[in-house]
Amino acid sequence: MSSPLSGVMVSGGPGCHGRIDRADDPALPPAVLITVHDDAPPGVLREVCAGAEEQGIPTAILSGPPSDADDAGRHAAGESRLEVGVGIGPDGAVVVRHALVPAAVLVLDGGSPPSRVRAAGADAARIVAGLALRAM
Amino acid sequence: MSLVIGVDIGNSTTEACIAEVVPGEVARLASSLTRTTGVKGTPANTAGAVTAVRRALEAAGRPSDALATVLLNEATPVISGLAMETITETIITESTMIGHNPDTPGGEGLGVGMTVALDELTTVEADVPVVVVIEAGADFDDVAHLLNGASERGVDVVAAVMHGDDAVLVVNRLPHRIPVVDEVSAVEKVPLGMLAAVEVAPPGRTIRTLSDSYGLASTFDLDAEQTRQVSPVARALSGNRSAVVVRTPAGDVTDRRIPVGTLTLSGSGRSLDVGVDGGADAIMEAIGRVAPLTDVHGEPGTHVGGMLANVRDTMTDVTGQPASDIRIRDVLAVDTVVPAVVRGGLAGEVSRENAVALAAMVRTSRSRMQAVVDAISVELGCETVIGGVEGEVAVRGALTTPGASVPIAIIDMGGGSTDAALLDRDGAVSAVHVAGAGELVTKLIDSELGLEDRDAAESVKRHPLAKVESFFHVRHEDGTVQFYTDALPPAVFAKVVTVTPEGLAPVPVRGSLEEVRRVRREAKRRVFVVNALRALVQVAPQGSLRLLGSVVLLGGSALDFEIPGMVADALAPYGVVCGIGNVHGTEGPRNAVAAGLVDTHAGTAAGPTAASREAVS
Repeated sequence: MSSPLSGVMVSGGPGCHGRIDRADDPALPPAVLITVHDDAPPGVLREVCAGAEEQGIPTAILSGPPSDADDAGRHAAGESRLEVGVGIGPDGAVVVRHALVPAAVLVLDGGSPPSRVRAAGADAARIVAGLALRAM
Repeated sequence: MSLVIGVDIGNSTTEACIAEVVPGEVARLASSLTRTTGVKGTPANTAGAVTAVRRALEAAGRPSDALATVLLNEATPVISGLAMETITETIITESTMIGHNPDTPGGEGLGVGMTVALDELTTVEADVPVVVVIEAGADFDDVAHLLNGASERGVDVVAAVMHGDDAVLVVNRLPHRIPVVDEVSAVEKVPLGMLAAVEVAPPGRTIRTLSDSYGLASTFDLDAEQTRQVSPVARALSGNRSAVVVRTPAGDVTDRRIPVGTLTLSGSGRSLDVGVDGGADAIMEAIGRVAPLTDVHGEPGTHVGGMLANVRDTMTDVTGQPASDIRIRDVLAVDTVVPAVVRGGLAGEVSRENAVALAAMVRTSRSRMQAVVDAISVELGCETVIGGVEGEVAVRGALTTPGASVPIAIIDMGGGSTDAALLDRDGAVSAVHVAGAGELVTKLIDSELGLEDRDAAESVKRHPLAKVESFFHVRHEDGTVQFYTDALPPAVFAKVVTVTPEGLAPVPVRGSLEEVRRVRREAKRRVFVVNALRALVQVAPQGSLRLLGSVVLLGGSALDFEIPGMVADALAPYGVVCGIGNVHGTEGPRNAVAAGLVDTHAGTAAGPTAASREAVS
């Protein structure tokens, strides 16, 4: 299945615009950006995307320099036009960040249960939607 | 010259005012405030009173052995009890409907078919419309795969009901958007092999078919009698964005009134029975007819009987008087609405049930105050005396408010009771106590918002609300926006919060700010405004509020950010000057009694001297 918007292979489900190299492409609708380490367990990305998709907020996977979850999250949030990004580290740690907020909004250690990873993805979307966060 | 301290033991707070006194002259040094220990008018008050005295001494910079006299108020010890009873109940039988509102249902439209479990889907014949019931733990990709497989075989999958929060994910993976209701916690109880309808409205809309009696009739092919039977289902579902109705042989939703018993009100030489399920208005009207009230009993073996027995038991515990000697002298009944989990519901549905809250007030014997005096005297080792009657001292304290003049009435809005007193031109003082004050407001807020957290309810009562709209700004309840240069914590993001001196505190509700604000203001109006008028009518000359002249608000609730305004608004039509007390021009609405005790002791109390004193109530 391919995304109707970016034309590249989708790796995050129907709510995800797939992998992108740059976030300033005007053809790409605003999205929560996810920067994921190549070694991260694949299930983590799937759950983060599912969480955001259930909330109805689009996601896209932004390439970035290999780094830990926090730096990846900072990079993604900084590039996102919605100012919200999720970083996934090599061990599956998840960090949700807002571009203008100095501290991480949400931090999950690697190996967290899928339901909590899903909730983190949902919370990233809920920041955009202006809804109270569920992990709080 | 001697060092004198006036101590006012109230229902919630104990206040002290310390002064140097020579006859005819008072030099106030300091005041203090602490939480009342125990129930007002009982020896347990000693600890709080001693704390208040020590704090005042500290603030004044005086050693405790310099203290000559401690003055206490002769309060008519008024003890209040609260009780609340639900009078309606919603019951769903045979798991006939799911009427909760998940945040994110999937798809939209109406689907009608036979309920079938996900793992039975392979056995269903083609062309049969089915509503698939999906249990906990199913992965959204697997579910979508199975539903698509069934559709390819010709099975008409028209809707689904599921346990997990996956409805949007599943629908996004189907070629046709079908309505899916998710987060159904007891999905395993959905009866299988029955005709069911699932409806999901578009975003921003509410369902139209299942919330309408004739919509249900058309959907399930019902006759007139059956339609009459299902109309409570329609009513229960109105306003929802999604719903499921299953047609079972005896399924129903009932909305029944719980028999909670009758109150027997005694007063003016007769007694009157009133059913509690008649609501607060009927109870208050009956109380008005037997006024002044001498005692109230609840029908034994009923909810209200248990409720008043509890109040009496509490009074027995704190006063040591036998239950048979305790007389309930006033009752305030308030209608309220309590969110309650629906019995038989499959998704933790909550319905708003009617309830009645009662505040009951008991007067205990006067001798208990002497016990407090004795205990304080022993504890502090100095002379302790009862320095004045509360109502009179308070009204004379209030009269020191700049701009106040006789005739003057006070309303002291405390924690357990609301007190009113009137000082007329002849120096006569009359006073009343009525049941219901701050504690009842807190309880109403707590139960109406379903907080089950007294501290959160107290915070809602005391502080204005705001909605956190981003990490950097909040919108206050009056619409003004405040920007923050430092990011707000994620714990308050997008929440309704109370704006406290310590910062923003989240209110644990799903409802909107407007809803919380409405509940808060209504609770205050139904207790403080109703009680202020009820009490003032009893002390006003000829029962006419127009003859009152001026009303000074005292007590902790007079410091509230909106109660004084609400009471003043309610009194405005009677041409009454109403405002917040400012005792001696410096003390605000607090300390009227404590400062008044010192003034009385020094012989400098304000106002005309009483030719005769009369006490009402």
